[in-house]
Amino acid sequence: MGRSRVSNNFRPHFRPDGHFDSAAAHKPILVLENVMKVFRADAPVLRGVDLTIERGEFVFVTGPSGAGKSTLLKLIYKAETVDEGRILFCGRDIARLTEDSVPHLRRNIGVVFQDFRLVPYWTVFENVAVALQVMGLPPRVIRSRVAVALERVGLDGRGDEKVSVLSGGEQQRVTIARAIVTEPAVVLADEPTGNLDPVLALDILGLFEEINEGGTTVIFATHDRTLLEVSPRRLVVIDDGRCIEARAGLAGLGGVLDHGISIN
Amino acid sequence: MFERARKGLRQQLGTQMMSVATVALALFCMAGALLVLENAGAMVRRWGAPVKVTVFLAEGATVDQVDSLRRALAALPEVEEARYVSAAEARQSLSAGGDRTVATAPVELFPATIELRLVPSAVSAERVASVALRVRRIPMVSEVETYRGFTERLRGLLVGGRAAAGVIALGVLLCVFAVVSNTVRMSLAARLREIEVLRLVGATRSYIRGPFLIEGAMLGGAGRSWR
Ligand SMILES: Nc1ncnc2c1ncn2[C@@H]1O[C@H](COP(=O)(O)OP(=O)(O)O)[C@@H](O)[C@H]1O
Ligand SMILES: [Mg+2]
Repeated sequence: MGRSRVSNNFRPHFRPDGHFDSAAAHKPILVLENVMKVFRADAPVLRGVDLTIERGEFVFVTGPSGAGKSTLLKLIYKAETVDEGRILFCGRDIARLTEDSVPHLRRNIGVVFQDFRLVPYWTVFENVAVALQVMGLPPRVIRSRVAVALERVGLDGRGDEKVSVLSGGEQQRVTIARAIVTEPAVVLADEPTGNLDPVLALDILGLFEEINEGGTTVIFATHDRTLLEVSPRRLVVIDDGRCIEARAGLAGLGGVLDHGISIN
Repeated sequence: MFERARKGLRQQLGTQMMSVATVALALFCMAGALLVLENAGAMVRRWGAPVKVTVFLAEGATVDQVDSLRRALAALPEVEEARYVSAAEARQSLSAGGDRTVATAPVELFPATIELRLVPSAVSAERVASVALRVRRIPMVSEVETYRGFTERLRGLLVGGRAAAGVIALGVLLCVFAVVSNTVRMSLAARLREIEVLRLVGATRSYIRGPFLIEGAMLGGAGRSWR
C-alpha cells in the first residue's frame, strides 16, 4: 500500500496498485467541468462551475461566506461528491474513484483548515508524521522528512511539544507542515487565516507563497479582502453558484467583486 | 499499528480507570440498596400480617360457653392456638410491671379474653379481618381486637422503605448508564478527531480500524484476566 517515494516528481497513484499514468504529468492539474453541487433543491450551492488550474499555479478562491468555497474544496479532496459534471485531477475523473482509491487521492492533496484539525494530545512531530505513516514509510525516512517540513514552516526543533499548548499561528504552521510533508501536487487551504490576527494572517499567506514557489499548486480560499489586496494573483470568485475569473487579481474584477464580497 | 494501539491505550488509561471505578462503586451501592429492599420485603412478609387477635368476651358468659367458643376458634385454619385468659389472669399479667393500682383494682374491671395466635405469614390481613367480623357476630363476644392499626402502620412503613430502596436502585442504574455513555462519548469524541485526521491524510479503512481492534482485544483480555 505505501511506497517509499521521496522524489519531487508528482506521480498520481490513486489506485491501490500504485499504477502510474505518465500522460497525467502533462495535463492540467485540475479541471472542473460544469460542476454542480446541491444540498437543498431550492438553493443549489454550485451550479455549473468551470475552472482549469495549471500545475504550479497559486489561485485565490473567494466569495461571500456561504458562497460554496469550502464545498468546492471538499469536492476536490472528495469529502463530498459532485452531483453533476466532472472534476479531473491530472486527467482522472475523481467522481469515478472507488472508495478504496480515495485515500490514495488524498495522499496527493494537502489540506489546511481554518480550525486546524490537529490531534490535541499528539505532539507536533506525531501530527505531521501521521501523513507519512499512513503511507507505510520507514521511521527513519519519516523522521528526516518531518524535520524538513517543520523547518520549512519555521518550527524546527519543536517536534516534541504537545500541539495543544501552541499558539494559533503555531498550530496552523503544524497543519501546513502536515499538508506539505508528503510533497503533494496540490495544497488546498480553506480560510487558513480565519482564526488568526491580521499580522499572523500575512505570515501564513507568505508561507503558502513560499510553498507555491517550490512548485506546489496552491488553492487558497478566503474572504479576507486584505489578503487579496496584498497578493495580486489569479482570483476565482464564486458568485451565485458560478465562477467568475479575474486573472489580473483584485483590480481586474472591480464591481463584480464589490458585489460579491463587500457583504462581509 | 501496535504502536498506535499502545499509544491510544495509554492515552485512554486514566479515563478508563475512572469509569471502571465509578461503575464499580455505583454497582456496589446498588447492590446495597437491593439488599435493603430484599430484607424489607422479608420483614413485610414476616410482620406485615397480623399475628395476634384478642377476642373480648361479654360479661355473664358461662365457662362451658367460653370453652366451646375457644375450641371453635382453635379449629379455624388461620388460628394456631387459642388460649383463654380469665379476668384474674388479665389483672395479673397487666400488673406484672409492679403497678400496685392495677394489682389492687377490682377483678370485674378486667375483661376475660381469648387470645388467638395466628399461623405466621400464612394469613393475609384481609382474611383476619373477615374472621374478626364473623367472630364479632357471636353473641357472647363483646369486641375483637386485631391490632390492625399497628400492623397497618408497620406495613406502610416497610412498603415505603421498599419504594425508597427501589427509587435508589433506579437512580444508581441511571447514574451508571450516564457515566458509561458519557465515558464512551468522551473517548469517542477524542478519537473522532484522530480518525478525521487519519482520513484526511489518506489512511485506508483497515489502517484506521486496526489499532481499535487491537485495543479492544487488549482491553477485553485485561478485563477477563482481572475477573
Ligand atoms: N453538508 C451540507 N449539508 C447541507 N448544506 C450544506 C452542507 N455543506 C454546505 N452546505 C451549504 O452550502 C452552502 C455553502 O457552504 P460553504 O461551501 O461552506 O460556503 P463557504 O465556504 O463559501 O462559506 C451553505 O449555504 C451551506 O449551508
Ligand atoms: Mg467555508
